[in-house]
Amino acid sequence: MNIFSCKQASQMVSESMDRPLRLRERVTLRMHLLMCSFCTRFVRQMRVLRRAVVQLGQATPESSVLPQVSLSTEARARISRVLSEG
Amino acid sequence: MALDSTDAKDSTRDISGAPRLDPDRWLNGHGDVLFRFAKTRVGRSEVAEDLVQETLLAALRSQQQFRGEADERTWLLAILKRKIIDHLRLRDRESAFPSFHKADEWVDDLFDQRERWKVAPGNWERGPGAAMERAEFWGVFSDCLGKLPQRMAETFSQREIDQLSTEEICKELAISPSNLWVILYRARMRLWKCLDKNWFGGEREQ
Repeated sequence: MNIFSCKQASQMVSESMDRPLRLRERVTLRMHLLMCSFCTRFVRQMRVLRRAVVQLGQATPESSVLPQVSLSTEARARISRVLSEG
Repeated sequence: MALDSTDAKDSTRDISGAPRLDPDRWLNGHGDVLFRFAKTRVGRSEVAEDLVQETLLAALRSQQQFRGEADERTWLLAILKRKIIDHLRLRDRESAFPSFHKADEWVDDLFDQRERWKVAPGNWERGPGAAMERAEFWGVFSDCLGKLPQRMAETFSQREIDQLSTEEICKELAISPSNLWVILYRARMRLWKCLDKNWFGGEREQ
């Protein structure tokens, strides 16, 4: 029985975030994970990624979770010019 | 956005002491907050800058509609959110999605010929929980999002940040679910690798 390559397993892990896996896919993935510590690690890291993104989505606009980037000086000047022209 | 047809009435209100809105003050007071919000949705700085500009311009043109019921920032953010949706819709009409039928060499390159990891996933010793409490982490995260191909970043944001269902996104992009899964897989792999390299990067056990 095919138990997925690491590449297939990583695809299944990602797809499991977008659709319910079929029973056979779930079982096969679980078997792969039992034998592969790298993919097990990968699964945990995918969950971290998702947690981070959800936190980003729930952040209020003022929150420090949003990247503390700023408009560049050029962009600011350009926008200011456009606004003054209305 | 159309100009309010009640100009006369509103200008009287201005004279009578309603707050006169000042676009430069918006730019200074809310520009960065709007920019940050937009950047997490569209990834690229240039696109986010344009969206801020369009938002403030639309606000300027419809300022009569601002009645001070909501606070100024909430009002500007509501305009920005509409601008982001417009941007995504327009983009969907103007350009077809880059091919997902073609193999993604970037992802393929993570695996060897037998489809095993070329480099084992790192062990992320820096601790994900603690990472999320640090502002620098979010800076790296945002940079990684900004490095994704444009359409990929936007699709990923719709799915994961705005939590749209796959059905909604497929409908909007006119693509099949399996194509969407492929796009999201490629986006996650890139983000994961980017975070691994730029934040969690530690020793590599082989």
